Amino acid sequence: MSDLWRRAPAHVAAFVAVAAKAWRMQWREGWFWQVGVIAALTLTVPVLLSARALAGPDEQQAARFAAVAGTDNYLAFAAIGIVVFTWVLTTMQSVSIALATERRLGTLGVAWASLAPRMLLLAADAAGRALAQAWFGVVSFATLLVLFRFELSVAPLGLILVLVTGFMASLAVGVVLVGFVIRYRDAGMLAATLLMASASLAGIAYPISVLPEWAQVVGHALPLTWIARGLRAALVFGNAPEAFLAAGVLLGMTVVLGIVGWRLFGRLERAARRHGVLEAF
Amino acid sequence: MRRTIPGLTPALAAVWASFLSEWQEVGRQKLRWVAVLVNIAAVLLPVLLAQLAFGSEGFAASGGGEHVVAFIALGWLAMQVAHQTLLGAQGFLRHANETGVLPHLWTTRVARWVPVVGITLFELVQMLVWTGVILAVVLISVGGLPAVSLLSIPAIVLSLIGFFGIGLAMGGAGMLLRQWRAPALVNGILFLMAGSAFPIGVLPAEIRWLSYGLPHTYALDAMRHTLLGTPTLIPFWAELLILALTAVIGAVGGIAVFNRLDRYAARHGLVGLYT
Repeated sequence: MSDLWRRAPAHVAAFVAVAAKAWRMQWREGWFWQVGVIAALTLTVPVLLSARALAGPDEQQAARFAAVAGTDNYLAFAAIGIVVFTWVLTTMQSVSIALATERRLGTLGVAWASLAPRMLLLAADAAGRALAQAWFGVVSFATLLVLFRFELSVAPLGLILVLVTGFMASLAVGVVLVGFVIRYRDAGMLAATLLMASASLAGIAYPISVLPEWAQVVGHALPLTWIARGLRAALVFGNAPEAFLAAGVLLGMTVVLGIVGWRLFGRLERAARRHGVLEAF
Repeated sequence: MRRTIPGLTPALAAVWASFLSEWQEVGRQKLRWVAVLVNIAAVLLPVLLAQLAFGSEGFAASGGGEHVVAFIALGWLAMQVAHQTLLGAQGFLRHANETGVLPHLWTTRVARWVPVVGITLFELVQMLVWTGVILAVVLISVGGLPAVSLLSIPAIVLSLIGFFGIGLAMGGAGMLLRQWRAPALVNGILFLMAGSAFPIGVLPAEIRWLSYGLPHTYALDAMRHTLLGTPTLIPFWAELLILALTAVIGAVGGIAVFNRLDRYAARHGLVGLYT
């Protein structure tokens, strides 16, 4: 443990260097801006237009929505849900994508020979990529705000806390998943599919109160649910205490998932090396 | 001189061979089919839940009919077909270039667009599976298809031919601009403007004209009209006429554009080049 602390400054420097490299690799790609525009067009705007269609030409169904969601500001409610969905799911997969990229490029073996902890290298790469995803999220939300002109009631401190803890919790989920991906190559696709399927329980363009009770209970075990709940509290309801609660839950999830993920990664990475699949692509 | 219109037998053999090749490469992955089914559920379940929150009355008043899930499921499926035909050709050619097999493929004696059609046909088979699943969802959600008409067949066939033609042209352009992302951008615009997930009446009037200029809008509208009984944007016969014109222009123009760009790529040493 003392060795870990002694090397801490070097590890921090390694983390920053790798994260900066990953970020630079993203934004210097020619398709960086195109992807942002495409994501906004294909994912977020259609969802809001669907919500507008469901509300009706004179928004006559907004009252029914308010009865279950607690607000008739359905456009802001749905905008937060869909932007969080795209941001969080890509962030959760970023650690696995970092691993897959190193494998594909044939550089994983070199990275593994570094003195820095292996998970730290992957997490740093993922953090750099995830920052690009966060940027897409900001652009998408700003686009929706300009196009649909919905109202926001902002609780600034709660907003910042939920964003930071949500980012950390999403990366922690990625840490849990990457162990399986390093050992079982098909796990990447399976994890992506399951993450997408689980999002239905988190309330994307609807409140989770429309779900059966058992599904609501399961939904509350997902970080995505708490991120959406916290951001809606901080941006739609202006409810700072609710946002703080969400941030607290997300912080707890980060710690638990981070520890579990770290241990799992150690075991599964050793198993991958024993079975000779570390660099298998 | 290389033949641009192939004989039927070698053409069918080449289509079948490339279809089988793609099956061996991709289709045998069982997990892929599971992922497809879960993805369909992941797309349609939120729609159903949103309908629970809002009810369907507002959607019907917006021009989408009462069957919200069926409306969006059909739109999603049709746009997936358009997406695969748009990106399938380009993706295949890029992959063939990356793996170094494109020059070998180009020495076959059939027209070069034929194997590309075979590859995208494989995508179409996947779509058939998806169609089956989505039809089951539609049957469950609306208690049977409400207004199925045989006129849906020409609407679907003409749409497919048009989609394939446009995809071929995009594939040809992809040989010149190897890291080209424009098809994805075009696909995004189509997904949004053709009304895949909403009746286009909810689009702002300033940009709705763009929807009326896209053949995909009429393809979706005609399919929904003949399968779900939704009202059409313009008379149905006019929609069929637009789809027929798109099919002819798409097929003839797509092959012509593909051949022209292929010759350009060959002359400029771009076939087999991957950087």
